[in-house]
Amino acid sequence: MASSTTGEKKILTLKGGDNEEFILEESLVLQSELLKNMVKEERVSSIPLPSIKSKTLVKIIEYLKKHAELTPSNKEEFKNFEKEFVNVVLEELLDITVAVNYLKINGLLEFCCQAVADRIKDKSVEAVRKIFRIESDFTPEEESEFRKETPEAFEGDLDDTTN
Amino acid sequence: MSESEGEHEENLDYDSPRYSPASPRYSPSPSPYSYYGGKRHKTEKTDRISALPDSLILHILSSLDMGEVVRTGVLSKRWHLLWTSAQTLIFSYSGLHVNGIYKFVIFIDNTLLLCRSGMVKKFSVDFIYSKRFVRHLNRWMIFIKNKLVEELDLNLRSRGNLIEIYNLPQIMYFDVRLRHLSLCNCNLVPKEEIYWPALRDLEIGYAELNRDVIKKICSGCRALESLKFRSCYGVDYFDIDSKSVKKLVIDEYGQQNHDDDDDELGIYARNVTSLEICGYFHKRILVLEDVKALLDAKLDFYRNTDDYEVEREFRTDQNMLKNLLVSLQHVEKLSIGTWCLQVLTSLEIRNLPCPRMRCKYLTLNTPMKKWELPGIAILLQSCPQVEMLHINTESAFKEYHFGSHFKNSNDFNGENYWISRPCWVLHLKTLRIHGYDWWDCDEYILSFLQIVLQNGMVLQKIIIDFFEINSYEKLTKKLLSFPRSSREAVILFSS
Repeated sequence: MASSTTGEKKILTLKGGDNEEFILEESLVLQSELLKNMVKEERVSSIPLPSIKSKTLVKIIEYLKKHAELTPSNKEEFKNFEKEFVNVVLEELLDITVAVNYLKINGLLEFCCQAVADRIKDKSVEAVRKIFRIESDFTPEEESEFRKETPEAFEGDLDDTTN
Repeated sequence: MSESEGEHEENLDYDSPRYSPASPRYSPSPSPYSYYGGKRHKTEKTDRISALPDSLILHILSSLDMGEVVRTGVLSKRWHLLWTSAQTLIFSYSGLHVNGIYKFVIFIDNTLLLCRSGMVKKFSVDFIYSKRFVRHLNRWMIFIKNKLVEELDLNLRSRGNLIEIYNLPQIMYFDVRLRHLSLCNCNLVPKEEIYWPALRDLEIGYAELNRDVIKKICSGCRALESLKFRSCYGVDYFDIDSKSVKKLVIDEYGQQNHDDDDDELGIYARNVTSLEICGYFHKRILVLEDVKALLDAKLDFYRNTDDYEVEREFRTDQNMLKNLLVSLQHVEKLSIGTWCLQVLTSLEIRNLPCPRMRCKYLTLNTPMKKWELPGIAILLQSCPQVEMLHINTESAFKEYHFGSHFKNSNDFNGENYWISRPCWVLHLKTLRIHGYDWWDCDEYILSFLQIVLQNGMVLQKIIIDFFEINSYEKLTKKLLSFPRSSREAVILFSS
């Protein structure tokens, strides 16, 4: 499916981190500010993206395709797709977020950041540390002092679970 | 805090199916890492989020409440001062307790004091306001001006009937950065002109207006596209003399005193293309003037008076609605709510005419109750060019005060109602019925669908979009048994 040039449509090759190649229509990647500039100004036909895992790239291309098909009538369907899109393990979500930030796909970046934020929302400090594997380098005294400085931020029912 | 090995064991849960229940990669074997092999096991323990650049972390935090954002400062040294660079400041407090509110206000004061960002994109505050906080708010306004805020949301709520209003200070009326502004319980009292040249949308809720303020908004916001008034009061007409405003929403008219009851409430909107009137209007008689530019309009409001036994009140409603529809005859998209449909019912039952509409897209926000049916019928008959009809049965039902006398003397059989109606779906191509539970509206919708299939000569599809349908089998059987006039007609289920 990759090699066929369909009509007048320009074809572009993206090379993922593990040298896997993805061939797609140039119009698809224009949603990415970074790739758009590369394609328009430098007229390249192959773009290496060594920092992005192929697995991540597959996901992002899937999104670009869906987004290109978006019309007022399938809005709902697209929303469901978006929801499923970020319903992945944290590691993968962060991979996607970093890649999307690099590629500058604004709409998707907004959505990914929101999805990461949703995993912080209403969680206690301990839970956020566990979820994101953040190790505290504060001494207990430092930490309790900081908590005292802004007690308002630590009030209310916070969720200690990592769900 | 030292983390024991045991806690790390718990961490492994992060690859559990909760995050990706549908993912085929998830392996239910005891070791969740079997798929990734040993290499993955190593990376699994690293803290990825702290390694992200500041800008990306701040972007992630930008949708969170400031309480949460500040809380991240205690995660580790990496995070300690990061939050002070936040460019989106969202403060919200839902508590009612005076002490809690006071602490919340002090928290905002302190957070703003520590804010290091040269520019703040968004500032949003939501809490129960009282006059004793006026000096705090005035200080926040200076912060907002200094930090070149683009999006400002002041949602000052009131405590029950005790309404305390904040007057937007004079420094705020000249602001070249503001793009979005939403105010609640906040009056505009400009001594001179308003100058908000970058403002795109403005929402004003629960404010006392006057003609002068509306005029100043229209002349001082050259880029304003969307204007919404929610539960405002103090004016007899909304004169939107602006070239740029395309979307106008009037949601409810806030009743302050009853002296001006029964008065007209005029809406003049020369260049507006999209108009929405919704919510509750006590006794006010709505009048549209100069709305020739409108392309789509939504009438989903309801009006109430204290005494509906008087025939005069029915006639007032009927005349008001008729006049509104006459003003909207040219619009392409029309959306009508349940109260208006019931007023149309009272027209239909008295054999009074409904203005002829030219709309092609019609939306009915109705749960399709019995006393809406004649109104729906007369409206559909008056909209002969409709190609797409959308019925949203999830809309809230507002019962019209027909009175028992009216209902008893004009009763009819709802289930057979459509059978006796003449043909009215000549140009209908698509019918979409949306709702939650099919059972809620089963009785009248089925007979409605039967008639649409029977009369729709050019009908292409009926889309049934319900969250829950108890028995597909029974429903499809019934639908398939109805005769169809259009060969192309298909019935689709979407959910």
